[in-house]
Amino acid sequence: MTALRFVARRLLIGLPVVIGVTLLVFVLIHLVPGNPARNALGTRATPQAVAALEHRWGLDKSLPEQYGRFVGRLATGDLGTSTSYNEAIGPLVARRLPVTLWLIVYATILACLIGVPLALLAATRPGGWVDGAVRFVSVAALGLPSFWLGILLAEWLGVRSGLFPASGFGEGFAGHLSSMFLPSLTVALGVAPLLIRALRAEMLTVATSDYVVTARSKGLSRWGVMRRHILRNALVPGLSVLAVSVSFFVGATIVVEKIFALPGLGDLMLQGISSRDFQVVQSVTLVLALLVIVVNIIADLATGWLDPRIEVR
Amino acid sequence: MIRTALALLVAGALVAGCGGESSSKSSGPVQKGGTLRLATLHDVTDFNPFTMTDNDSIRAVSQITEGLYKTDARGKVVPWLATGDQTSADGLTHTMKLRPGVKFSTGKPVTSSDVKWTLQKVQGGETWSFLMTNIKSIGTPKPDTVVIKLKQPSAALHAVLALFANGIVPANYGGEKESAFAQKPIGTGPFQVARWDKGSKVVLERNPTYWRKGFPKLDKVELIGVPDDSGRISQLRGKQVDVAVSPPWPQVKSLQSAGGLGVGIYAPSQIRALALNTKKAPFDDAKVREAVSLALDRNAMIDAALAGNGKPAGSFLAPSVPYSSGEQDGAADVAQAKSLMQQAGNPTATVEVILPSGEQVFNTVAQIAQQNLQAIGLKVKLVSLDQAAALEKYQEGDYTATVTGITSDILDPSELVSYYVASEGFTTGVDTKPVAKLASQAEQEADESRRAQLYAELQQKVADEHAFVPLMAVPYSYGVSDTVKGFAVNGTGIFDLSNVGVAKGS
Repeated sequence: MTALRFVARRLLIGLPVVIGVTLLVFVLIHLVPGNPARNALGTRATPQAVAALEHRWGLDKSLPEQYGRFVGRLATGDLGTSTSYNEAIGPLVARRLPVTLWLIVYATILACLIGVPLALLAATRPGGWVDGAVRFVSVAALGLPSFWLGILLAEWLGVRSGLFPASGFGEGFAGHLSSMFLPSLTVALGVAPLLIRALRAEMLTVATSDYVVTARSKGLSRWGVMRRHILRNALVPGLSVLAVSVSFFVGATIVVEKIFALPGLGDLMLQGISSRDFQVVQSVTLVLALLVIVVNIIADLATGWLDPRIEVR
Repeated sequence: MIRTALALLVAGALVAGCGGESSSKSSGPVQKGGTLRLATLHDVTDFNPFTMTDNDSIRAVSQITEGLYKTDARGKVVPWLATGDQTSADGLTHTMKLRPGVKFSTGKPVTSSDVKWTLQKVQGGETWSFLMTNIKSIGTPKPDTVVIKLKQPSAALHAVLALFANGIVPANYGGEKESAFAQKPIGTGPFQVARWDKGSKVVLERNPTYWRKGFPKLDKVELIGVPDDSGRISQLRGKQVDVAVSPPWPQVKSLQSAGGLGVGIYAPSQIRALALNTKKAPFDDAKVREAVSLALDRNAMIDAALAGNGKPAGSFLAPSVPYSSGEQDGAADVAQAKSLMQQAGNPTATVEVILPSGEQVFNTVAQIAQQNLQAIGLKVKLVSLDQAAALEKYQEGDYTATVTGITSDILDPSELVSYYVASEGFTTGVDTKPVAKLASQAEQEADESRRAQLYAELQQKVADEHAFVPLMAVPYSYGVSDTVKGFAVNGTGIFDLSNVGVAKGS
């Protein structure tokens, strides 16, 4: 019950953030030159045809009025109609959301699979050569831009070796699992270094605490102490880092979806921007903002579960 | 075809002989059936043939609908759903018999009323009506006979009827709502829509009622939108797709030598140009414009931007369009340009050249142009804008100079010529009255050699303005796996997949 109330409260607090984000995007996209009606009709359209289409789409109204209509529709659960796809945006977004969710979840799992063992290895013998190597690699990996890394992975693991599809979403669960591996790995490699560094630092701090010293003095094995006392306690701050990183994924998906030709929300957003499909851009931003909020709520709930001292209210 | 080329549409015609098959080194007989996976630039954005303007939508719908006439792979306009045209002596009345036994994919036979409805829909629409203004009336004396009456004789009629938008669809959308039809258009073509995953791909399946026996060879076609250049090429090399449009020019050589695939290079039917706004200094001075045209090193542009695969353009009409004055030698004459600049008083203001971003060819061309113009004393600043913004500035005349492109959707000069006249010389602000007069004479001229002469005169007039300065003619190119047989592209840049097969074992 408290958890439910917590979720409801956090969603309410998130509301102004979402409204702020849509307002900002609305203003920004209207500042950029470029006319959706002209784009849709092509270069040979007469000025009259462009004006008629602008009227039909309500683009001849004042900006506050246009934003008001957007919010008004939103209140009834209607995201509006895409001008470039000539289709309701709700279903358009719904078809693309799974691709982006796949990417985020898969990347999170891969980031943990890479990050947690490496952090454990590094923290077991701080200052040893393994620790040095892990720290060096993670600093180096932090500097790799995902657009470059993605292209390299697609070339080596996709085209040259043929191990994984170089791009696309694939068909069916197994198809997605293999097609989404490279894009998810690209995102995961961007986030894993942060996770490794946070976990390692936290584990080293915990390792010097009294209860760890006590546990050791009782004769528990090195590994047992590591797993039961150090890792579990270090996971809490690690999780916060991960939650922040996942919010960052949402931005990274735009780049990664383009490189790997994934028909997800980021790709829809890019297409919306280039065709000046204002409704699509606003709606996708809204969905992505909600996604970030939901991820953070989940992280907070998980933190409460891992560490009962932290109360979820 | 506008969105991607930023410009004035794509399409064009084909030089005879250029449209052959691109690759067929490999083994294995062509099988009946099979699936062709083709990576396009974008997914179809609009499936309504009457309103679409982008290349990928046009190429897709061209597999679904067919017109009374058709542009074939040799760049000829041939009778298709019509069996021919009986023209009256005054050239105003065209009587066309429909090919017997042609049915829509719904199974319903095509009649003259479907033809009339389709052509009138285009005539009354917003997008392509400018090509149809010469049609006075469309009569349907018999279910298999159409009579088209013109206001003035026109040599362009058959090319216009071959425009994709004039592909015949059932009258009144076959009883469907327009919005439903625009999701799943119906035609007489070799394929029909099986599925459309918007923003991702279109799946076409064979039309079981197709009138040409033994065609299409394929069971299924997937048109997959892959906007990223390297993504498309990765998919082609990784065998996730069989054909990929527009491989980046610098990679064409390495792709050709990679084995297992080839690159088909078709007719040079897209013109890239530098548009100079004659209403803005310093280009209000014709001498400065001429100096610019002389200073440009077109051959260097072709080498750098197209890896040599292009021709220096001498006209706004691509070499593939009939009556085009076509090519020039492309050599710059810097000395003459400098002397013209001197006569113009060596203007010193900085010239802003708008560069539509995100396209490598435009980017390279603009940079070379910048160097060329600086060599004759003009200060040039490149302003990179995304395509929608660049298009708006150009279309509204709110620019000094911009790199741009233009293509023809029909195999006749009349489309681009009428657009030139209507748009003050492709929005360069020139007076187009003299050209308008020549254009109307040329279109009505029945004598072939006289018509060619008129069009040559017209193109010279446009060239002498040095306002829309043609740079180079760019071919359409496709990366094609060796397992694909019979892939060909017509002069308007549209592929015909009815003859395509995939080899066994692919």
